[in-house]
Amino acid sequence: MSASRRHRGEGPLLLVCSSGGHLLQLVGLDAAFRDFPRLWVTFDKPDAHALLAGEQVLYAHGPTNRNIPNLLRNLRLARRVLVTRRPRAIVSTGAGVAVPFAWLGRLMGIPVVYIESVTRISSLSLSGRMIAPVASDFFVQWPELAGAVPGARYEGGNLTPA
Amino acid sequence: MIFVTTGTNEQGFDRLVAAARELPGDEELLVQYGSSTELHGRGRWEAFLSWEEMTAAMTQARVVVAHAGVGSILLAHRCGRRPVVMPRRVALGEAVDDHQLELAQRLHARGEVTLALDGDALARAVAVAPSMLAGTGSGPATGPLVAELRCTLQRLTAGVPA
Repeated sequence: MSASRRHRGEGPLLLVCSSGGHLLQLVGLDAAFRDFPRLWVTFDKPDAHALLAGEQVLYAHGPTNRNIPNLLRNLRLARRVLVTRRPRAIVSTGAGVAVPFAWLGRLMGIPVVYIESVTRISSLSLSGRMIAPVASDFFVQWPELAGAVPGARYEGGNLTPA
Repeated sequence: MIFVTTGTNEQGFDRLVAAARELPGDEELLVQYGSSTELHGRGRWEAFLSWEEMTAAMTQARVVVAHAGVGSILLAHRCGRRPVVMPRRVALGEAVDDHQLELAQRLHARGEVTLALDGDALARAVAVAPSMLAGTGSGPATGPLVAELRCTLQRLTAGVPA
């Protein structure tokens, strides 16, 4: 890989998650990234339309649970988005849709920040387990889970103010 | 009005909609039953509601009843409501794991939801009508997780033009 390909992206923050609870959680952390240029990747669902009105949004292929064709489609989408938009970092609250973006992002030297869902209390989610090895920063929302991943950080949850 | 929602899951939740139909009294029901079996109880039954209808129902209902999905709970909190939640159970084929039970127990202990494990408990909880969520539950998260995530993104993207 050439030096220019490894060069850190100057594009937007890439915020990727499934619609529903994962999206509500990421939107709830908005104060952390509202000063950055943003590009969202989620599913084409009514809650995404409402919550991300006025945001730049790309729609990924769902569902992703045990769905290999959609994983491959999302891998192609991830490759296209990461190459053309060169995001400066990838941020996700899960779930499966984030995995191809995180893996390809890591290969391209883009930092990956993962926030495990607040629903995970005593064990990591599947997407959490798959993204942990490529994440530069990994947050959990319950103290019990901090030991589940080397370097995981517990800084309180976002379900309600700590 | 009693608003009952099974969330946006692909999977149905027949136990919750059956419990909703069996609720005593003649109070109006609005049931968003998703992929569950439609039981045609009293009131209005819809597979899915628009985002606007969903938030309006959450805001206007006397009681919000939901599965224990984080999306439904967070949305109820955004609308200032403390929902009565029935967790989907893996042993009954309602979910792939018991994370909803674990989450509901934690949040019940903190007074952020009312946990109802079965139809009888649900009827009792609906009868007493949980109070509105106290404090800042409907506001955006401003806790340490937001601050840490913000610092992390600034560190990872240092030197990248805004």
